[in-house]
Amino acid sequence: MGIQEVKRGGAAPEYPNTRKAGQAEGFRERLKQNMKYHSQDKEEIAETETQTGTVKEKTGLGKIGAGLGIRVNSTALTEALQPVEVKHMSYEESDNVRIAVTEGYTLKGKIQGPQTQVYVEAKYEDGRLEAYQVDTSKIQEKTEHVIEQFALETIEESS
Amino acid sequence: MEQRWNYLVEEYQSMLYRIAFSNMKNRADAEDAVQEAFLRYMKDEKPIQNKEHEKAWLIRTTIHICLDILKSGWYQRTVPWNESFASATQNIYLPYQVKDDRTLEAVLQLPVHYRNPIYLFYYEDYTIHEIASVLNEKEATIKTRLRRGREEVKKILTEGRP
Repeated sequence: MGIQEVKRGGAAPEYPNTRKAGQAEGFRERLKQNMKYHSQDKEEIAETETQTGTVKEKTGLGKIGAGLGIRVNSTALTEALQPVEVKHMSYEESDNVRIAVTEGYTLKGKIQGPQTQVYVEAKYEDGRLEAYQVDTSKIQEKTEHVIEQFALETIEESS
Repeated sequence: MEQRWNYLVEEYQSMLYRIAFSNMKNRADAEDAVQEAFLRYMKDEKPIQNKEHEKAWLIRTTIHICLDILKSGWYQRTVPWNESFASATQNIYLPYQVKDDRTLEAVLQLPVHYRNPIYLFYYEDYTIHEIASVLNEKEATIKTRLRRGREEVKKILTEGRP
């Protein structure tokens, strides 16, 4: 007494297994489908990572401007873009100003000397300041580089 | 005395007015706040170390005056919410062209602890070090507020709520 006996009797179970062959196949199908979607997801992620990697290679983005082509470091320098010393130019002195609050940066541009040279100063949310001399004649057509686009915009605005 | 007053007005009036307006959101109160800041500066006996110190003092005082007015029972009883808010950005005459009024409007809707750092950093081009000095906060605090404030601006722009 006191010990519960568990017997595996020969009687029919209370909840008989009513699974049919078709249902098993259905499950297999669903599983296959899920696996297919899963692998597609993986491929998409891999593709996105590759794309991001490509962008990173092109622009050398850091954490703030990631995906925006903003954070530019030495690896990001293009033929048209050269880093220069920051002049601490004010908004009033600038020919063009871009305030990108939601992206966390500001850009100031000033045309210098010949109409193809633009000095661009970038300020980031983390406090970093960077400056570039952009030779707009060397910018590739349909550039996606934000600093280059901004330099072109500065020339357009002034003309 | 008059010379000093003229110098202050010429040098700082526009900038202080914009900062006051970003807090008060109406022209009359912003102008009152700036005038009060100038008066306090004239009465202040403490020696001002340099121009940067003078500017920081005036900005800090203007913000404090604005916050005092906003907190006052009289103001809360007599000024309805959102008064003249629709035209808020039209009353801020920045020394450059603002191409995106919606973002500036969103910034003006932020709570004060995000609004002032964001406004000073982006629209007045202050550095984090200068903002920390003006607002008497640590630089790390300002960085955090800039980051969080930016997220709030995004929310306002996408969801339409602060």
